[in-house]
This record gives sequence, structure tokens and C-alpha cells, in this order.
Amino acid sequence: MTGELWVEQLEGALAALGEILAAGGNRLAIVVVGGATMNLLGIIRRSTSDIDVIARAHRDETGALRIVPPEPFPPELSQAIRTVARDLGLADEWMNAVVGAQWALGLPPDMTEDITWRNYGGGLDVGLVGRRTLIALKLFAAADGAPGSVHAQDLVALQPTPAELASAVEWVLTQDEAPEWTSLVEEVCKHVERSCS
Amino acid sequence: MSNEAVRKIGELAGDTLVDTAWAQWSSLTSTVVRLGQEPTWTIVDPEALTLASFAVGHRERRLEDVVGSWAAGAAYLMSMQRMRTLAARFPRAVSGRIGDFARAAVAGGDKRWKRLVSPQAAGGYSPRLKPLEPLRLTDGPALTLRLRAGFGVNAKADLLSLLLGRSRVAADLKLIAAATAYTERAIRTATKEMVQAGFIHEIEGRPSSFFADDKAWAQVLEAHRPSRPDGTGNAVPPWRFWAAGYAFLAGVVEWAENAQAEGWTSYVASSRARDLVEKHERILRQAELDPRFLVLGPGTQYLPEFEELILRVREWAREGLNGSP
Repeated sequence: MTGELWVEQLEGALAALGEILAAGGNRLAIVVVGGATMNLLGIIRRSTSDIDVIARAHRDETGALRIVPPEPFPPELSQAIRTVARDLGLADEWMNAVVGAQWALGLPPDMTEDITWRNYGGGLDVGLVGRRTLIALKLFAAADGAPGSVHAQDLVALQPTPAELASAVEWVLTQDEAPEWTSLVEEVCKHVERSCS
Repeated sequence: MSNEAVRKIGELAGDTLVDTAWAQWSSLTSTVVRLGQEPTWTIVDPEALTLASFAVGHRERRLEDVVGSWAAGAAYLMSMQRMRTLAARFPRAVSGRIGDFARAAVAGGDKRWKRLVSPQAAGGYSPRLKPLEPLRLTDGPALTLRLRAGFGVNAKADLLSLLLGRSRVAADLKLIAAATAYTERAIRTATKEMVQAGFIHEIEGRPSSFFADDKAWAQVLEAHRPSRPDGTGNAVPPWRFWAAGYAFLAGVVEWAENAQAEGWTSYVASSRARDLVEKHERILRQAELDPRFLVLGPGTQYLPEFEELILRVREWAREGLNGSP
């Protein structure tokens, strides 16, 4: 099983997933974040190991878009993910909802309004979060991870403006109460500012 | 690979089923004529043949007519238990046809089948029934039916047929159960009593295996291959996992029809083909049709491999009709 998904494989796997869902008479919507989203939006070109699903989505009775925690995946989605893994030789966890744990701490503000939708294969609507959400999540992940991590590199690739970074910092600081958290976040911000200047 | 390729694979599977089923029916009754072809030389699995005929009855209505006529005239030689067990390996549309068989059987006077009669015909076709010409029970391919006529429709008759068709190649309980579609428990009892009777022989071991002296039985049965002079070749035709091949091909026919009807993409077709092979893999291996030779290309690259498998099954069926074990 391969652990490397380039943008072509990402597109192919999502199309396959959508086709399998459509053939089963299903249409589902998910919201994805992370490296997969940045690749699909053309912000970066690097391989990623998986597709991070942060939410599922549906329209309520008024037609408004509602997002809900991703887990548990509906059985038809879980089955389709396994089928695509088998068919395309992907790791079993090529699409997962680990990042869904973020719901417990709080999502970046106004994420629902910061989503671009694409349909894959007729049966899968994929919401790609925009710059604002990506910057917030990447800043969080970079501060939480090792210096020079792929998250820090992704954050640099996003080329955030000072205003965007300041907005992200405001949210990220709410995510951890550890005494050293503020300095870790500031350190990442300095690194990004240096890299983008 | 295009939808045209999927259709072609389905045609290949369907044609193989039609040709093989027609050839086997012709070896059971002269009501079915197969001109210009050498008689088949393989033991017919009557329940598998019936189900296979249902699988392609909508393509070849004459098979529906034969099955209906067979049910009306020869259902007393058929096993309800085996029919239901084997049906589980076939697509649901095929297993749903047992009720049609039962209706024709009851109409023909066999009340045993009454409890399987379905309220409504599933096939959507009323077969044109013909009186069956005398059954060719003493010809080799009808060995299972002949032994059932002699000993009753039960596991023992089918067990003996299987072992005679294996030319002294011993089989253990698991293989016998898989081949005959009876439970291991039923087969354990049957083998024990047949060994006691001296009809078959046991090679003790872990597991024990069993064989029958086909040459001695051929003398008792006065069996010989009709198209060959007496004393040449095996007197008893070989046994084959027809149920495995038939069930798989029936699945392929349904797969191709669903692909057309539901407008599957090439990828979905390839994925469903993998599902089908996975479902049948174990029994295909027992039939020496091991699909593991396939190079499992990703995505739609699987479809050409799948077509190669169907071509192999077609070759396997052709060889089987001509007496390959």
C-alpha cells in the first residue's frame, strides 16, 4: 500500500470515492483540511499521506448548510473508503477523521463560510476550506509540532498577510492553556514573517 | 476500458454459459439436440445446470423451455436441498427462480416441491413445455442422476458420483462437502456408511480421505465412453466443479447487465468486478480456476485482467465438456 498521495492521486481517489457512492445511490458531503486541501487548491505541490476530514455537511430543512463532526462516518462512506483503498492500492486510512477531534477544542471561526465546494464522481461533495481556515489550522499545527515541520512549511507557502496571521493567532491562542503556548505561537509567526519577507 | 468492453465481457460469460448448459442438457435428454458436436464427457451437476440455465434464460429462451420441461418430467431426480444451497452462490435473480422450477415440478406431479413454489413467476416467461424424451441416465454424464435413481436423492449418491469422477484421486471431507454442497456433517455420515458398505475406501490420516474404485464400478455400471471403443479411456467421465464456474459466470452476466442498466463508470465496473472475484475466489480455487494469477492493476487496469479470467473460465468449460478432469 502506498502512503504517498500526489494531487493526481488525490483527485483520482476522490473521483473514485464519489463514483462508488453514486453507484450505490448515495450522495455525501465532507469538509477536508490540511495538505490535501492545499494540494487540491494548487497552493502547494507535495505528497501527503492522507485526506483529513474535519466535518461532514448536509443541508437542513431550510436549505442552510450545516456541518457536523465527521465521526462516525456513515457505513456507506466507510465501506466506500475501504473499497477505494483496495482498488487503488492506498493505505486503509487514506481518508480519516482524526482531525475531527478539533471539534472538542473549537473550530476556526466562520469556517462554514470559508468553504469552496467541488463535486467528485456525482456522489461526493468535497468542501475545501479557504485561506483563513487553513492559516489558522496550520499555525496551530506548526506551533504544536516540531520546528521546521511540514506544517510550518505549508504556512509559509500560504504567504499569510500580517492581518491574516494576527487573526489566526487570536484563535490559536485559545486552543491551549499551557504557559509556554504563547511563545511557541509567536516563534512560528516570526519564522513565517522572516520566510515571507 | 469502455462500456463496450464491459458489455463484451458480459457477452463472453453469457455465451459460455449458454453453450455449456446447452451441451450438458443434450447429454441428459435427446429432447435437446446439439448438432455436429462430439457428445460431452463430464459428469453433469443437475442443480448447478438448472441454475446456470436460469441465469441466461432471458438470453436463450430455449433453455427456459428445457428447464421447465425438466422440472415437469424429472424433478424427482433433483435435490431441493442442493438447489437451495447452490443458489446462494448465484445472483439473487437466479436464486429467486427456484420457485419457478418448483411450480413446474408440482404441475408435473412432484408434490415434494410444493413448499418451494413462489406465488408469482419470477422469470416473466412461460416456458413451452415438451415431454422429455427418455432420459439418458445410463450414459456417463448423467452418472449423478443415475445413482440418485438407483439409491435415492441423497448425499450418498452424490458422494459416490464425485469419487467415481475423480479416478481414484482421494478427497477429504472438506473438499467433498464443497463439491457436493452438502454439509460436512452429512458427508461425514455418508462416507462412514459407504466405507462400511465397501462402496468407497478410506485412506486414514489427518484428515482422512476417500476414494472409489472407478474401474470396478464401471463394470458394475456397464459404463463406457460411447464415442470410443470399449476399453479405451476412462469409463466414467470426470467430475468437475461446474457449480463454481457456473455461479461465477452468472455473476459476471449480472455484473455486465447492471453496468449497462445503471450506467456505471469504468472505475465502478472494475471495482464491482473485484468484488465478484473476491466473493468467488475460494470456490474458484477449488475448481482449479485460481484467480490469483491476475496482476492486480489499480483502478480500471483491472478490467483487462478480469476479461482474461473470463477467457480462462471459458477455456476451462470447453475442456471440461470434452473430458478434462
